[in-house]
Amino acid sequence: MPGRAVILATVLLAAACSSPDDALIVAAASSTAPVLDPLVDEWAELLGRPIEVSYSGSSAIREQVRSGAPVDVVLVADEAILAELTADGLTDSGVVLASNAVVMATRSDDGVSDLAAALDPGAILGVCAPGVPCGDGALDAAALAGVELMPDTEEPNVRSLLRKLLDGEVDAAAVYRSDVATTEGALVIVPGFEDASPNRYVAATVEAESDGAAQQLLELLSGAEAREAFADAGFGPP
Amino acid sequence: MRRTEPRPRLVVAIAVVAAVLLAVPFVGLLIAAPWSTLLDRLTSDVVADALTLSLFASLLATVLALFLGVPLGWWLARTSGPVVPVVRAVATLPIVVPPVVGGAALLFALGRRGFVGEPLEAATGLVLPFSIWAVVVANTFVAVPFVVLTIEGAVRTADRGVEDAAATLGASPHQVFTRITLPALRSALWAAGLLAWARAFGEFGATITFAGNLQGRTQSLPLAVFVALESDRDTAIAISLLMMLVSAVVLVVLRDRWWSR
Repeated sequence: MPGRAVILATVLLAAACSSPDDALIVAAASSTAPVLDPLVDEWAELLGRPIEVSYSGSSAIREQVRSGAPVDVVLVADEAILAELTADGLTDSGVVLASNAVVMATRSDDGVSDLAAALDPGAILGVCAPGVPCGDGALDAAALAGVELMPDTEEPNVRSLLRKLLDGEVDAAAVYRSDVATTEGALVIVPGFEDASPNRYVAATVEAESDGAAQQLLELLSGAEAREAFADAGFGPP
Repeated sequence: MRRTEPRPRLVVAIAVVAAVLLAVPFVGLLIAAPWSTLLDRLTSDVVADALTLSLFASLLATVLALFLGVPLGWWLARTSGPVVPVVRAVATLPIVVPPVVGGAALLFALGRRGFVGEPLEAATGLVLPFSIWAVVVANTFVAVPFVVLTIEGAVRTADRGVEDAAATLGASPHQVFTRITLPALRSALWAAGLLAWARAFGEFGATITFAGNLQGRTQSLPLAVFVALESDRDTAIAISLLMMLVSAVVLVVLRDRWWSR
């Protein structure tokens, strides 16, 4: 019996240690999912390598790269975050792909029509957590509009916030202009609340993992096709 | 002197590997800890709020889990029929499903658009999500199964002779339950409460999905760790150490009660 257990353990270990496929791994800001998802399959064929995209908040991506996650390319929603990684010697300086701005959004079938109604304590307001680009953008926009945000939740990334807005759990949420554009009429922008300094999306190769394919992927990300996809999804020019 | 007996060496070897595997991550945490600034970090508002909230929610959830789980565990042990395995499976589900799924399920039921939540808000104005009560509900939801399973096992192995004797002597079913059955379950109740509390105290996925994340209202310690990991790693490590310490204290304090009775 012990013999069998040893064999089983060896098999399990071998399975766990077997080398993963040579996929290019992209860590991308949550808000870029509507742009990247339709493109990556085609690009994978072009490059002859599978591409896996992992979406999270940009600040989470920074920490993943810092702790040595096997990421080939990063795409974050904030130049300052990439600058930190570049300063740490972890990524190259990157290319600006698109821009975006935080706005106040609400469901189009809802009664919340103006900023006062969205910020009313009776309405449930969601924002991204401070430190996440969409959270910092919300704070900038609030300062600009001269209002104080009293959020009911600070979500870790814009996708979980957007989900709660679409599901009707929050009445209004400070999300990206592009998020409103990609929800096909389900959401509308509440006027009077916008981040004046749009955040820029930057992509860069990660030094430790960088190879020719990562460089090619970066070129695709900054190419004409991607630029058009960003524009279609409601992002601003780089 | 303790008797030494021959031991199966393979088993001992695996036991050692298991102990090391469990210890290694915690050693990593201790090595990475920002010891010089630890106290400052732990006395910040964020940590104080999250600790208070976590203790309140996890302890209340433990009480609720015991209140709800003990009768259910007892019922499962003392009832037979086709419906019993179904109920047991449902009562075990929160252990098996990913906590995020549990949180989403809670939203679909108790959220503002949920089939319970919507009429509840219409009738009482009460909105569970984004309130501390949502944290308590999420904690209770994941903790109850541990009580149910522990109590069911204990009731099954309990001696029914005393209960029968009490009933024969004229005790009502309620008296038998409260005066005979429950006292006999004392050590199982401690174990169940401890497991339930541990699960509730560490609960993350269901809470962030169902209750959201806001300091002082729904941000428990695990949520504070998650948020801090992305902005202020040293604080995240400090909170993790705090959680380890609180858990270790509870385990040590309750261990004797758990094992010796």
